[in-house]
Amino acid sequence: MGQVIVVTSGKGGVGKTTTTANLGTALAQLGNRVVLVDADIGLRNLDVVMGLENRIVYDLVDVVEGNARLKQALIKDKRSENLYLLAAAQTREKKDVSAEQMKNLTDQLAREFDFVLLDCPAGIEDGFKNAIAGAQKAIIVANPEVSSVRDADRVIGLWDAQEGERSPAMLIVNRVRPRMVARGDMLEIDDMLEMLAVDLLGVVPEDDHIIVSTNRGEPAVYSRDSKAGKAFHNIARRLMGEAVPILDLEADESFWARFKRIVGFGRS
Amino acid sequence: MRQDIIIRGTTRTGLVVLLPDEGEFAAVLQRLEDRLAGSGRFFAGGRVRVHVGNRQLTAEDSEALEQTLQRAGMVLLSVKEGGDPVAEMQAPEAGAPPAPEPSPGNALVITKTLRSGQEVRHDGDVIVLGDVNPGAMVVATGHIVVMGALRGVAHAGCAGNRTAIVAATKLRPTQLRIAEVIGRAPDGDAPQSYPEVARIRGDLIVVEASAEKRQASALEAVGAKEDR
Repeated sequence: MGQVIVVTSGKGGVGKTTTTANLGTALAQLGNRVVLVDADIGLRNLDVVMGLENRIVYDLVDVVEGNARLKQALIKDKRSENLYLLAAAQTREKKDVSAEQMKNLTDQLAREFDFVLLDCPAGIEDGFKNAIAGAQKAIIVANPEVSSVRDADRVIGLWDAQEGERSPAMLIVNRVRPRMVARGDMLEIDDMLEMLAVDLLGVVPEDDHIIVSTNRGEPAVYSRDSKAGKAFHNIARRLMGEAVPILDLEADESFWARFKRIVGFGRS
Repeated sequence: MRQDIIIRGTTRTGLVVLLPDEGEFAAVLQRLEDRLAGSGRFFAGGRVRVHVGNRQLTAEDSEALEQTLQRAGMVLLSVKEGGDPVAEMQAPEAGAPPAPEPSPGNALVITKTLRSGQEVRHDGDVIVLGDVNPGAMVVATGHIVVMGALRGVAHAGCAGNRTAIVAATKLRPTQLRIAEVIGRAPDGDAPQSYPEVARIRGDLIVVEASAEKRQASALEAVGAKEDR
């Protein structure tokens, strides 16, 4: 049985879809069988970010309603052999799918794949409830800003209140600008962790590559010189159980740290 | 008749000095001066109201009194003549905090962190072993004690009990309510890192270091002596 992981945040625009796409791609690159499920029915995005929009024939609602078999609706990725996408319906609404139907669907997918990543819609209404229904793990994406942390806290509370066996939520801090944090203009990751009291899964720096790659439909993990891509790679390895150290302000080492590493003093 | 000089501290108004109303006033002042000198600089900076009992002070007497106090670094606020000062002193002080009423024993213990959007309402006291995050709310008819950080909203004594308190290891609430009084932290106020207690004084919610903190600092002082 594979793991069913929901990627959620409460607040919109913090990078759920980007995280799902990059994490899924990185997990596939590491040899896992991965399926990405876009649970944002009516506002689908994941297919665009993955560059697979023009290959959609059947979507999630078609499968749930029995218009298509699951195998027919799974879209194979352009580059990765073992990466698939189940797109959301664009012409339907969240309430066209029930939590029970979603759970059946993810259970079925978990039998075929190592990782089932669910891209959750923003908000805490029906779409969110459906998306978390079948998940055993939750990745909370938050930006280092007060409103995002507040919403993350709310979502963690709802996740904990769910019935059934569930792992504690894991946090990805996305769009960190190391220089702003150093100046004290951005929330510090330690402060976020103190309040949210969850495990830190990774820290992803703000990166222009993300915008370029999103528009191209090619996740940033494919790009060699993307700092964010590197961070997502590390997160994927952590999800597989590898102990990859979380560097403070990952992938943005200072001149001094780089100097020490080159000279051979730094261990990190 | 009363012969002693009595010096008492009150929470709201500062010091009250009761002077005996028998004997030469100059002699009384001399005793006061000796007494203050014997206390070192303990009373320095104190603001004093003096009660002279059944004595009429002349202008010179008043000035002599003021100068005596000034030599001890104290400021004379007012002089009161007549009445029974001792009886007045025994009357309950208006500024003293009302002692928290013992609770009826109906306490709710919450053993997790309350996150945004979560609310606890309880008829009795509430004890939280965890944090109360922003966006979360605790409402109790009795006291609220948070063994963690209180960052959300707490409403103690919600049925009108003005002696209810809110205590937290880290007291940095969005808003505090006790009975019908609502308070919030002043903007830009630096939060304290020690346990604090909020209660009603007059018509305001005031926040003070908790008794544990005072005890802790007393212990530290003893420890420092032993080190030497």
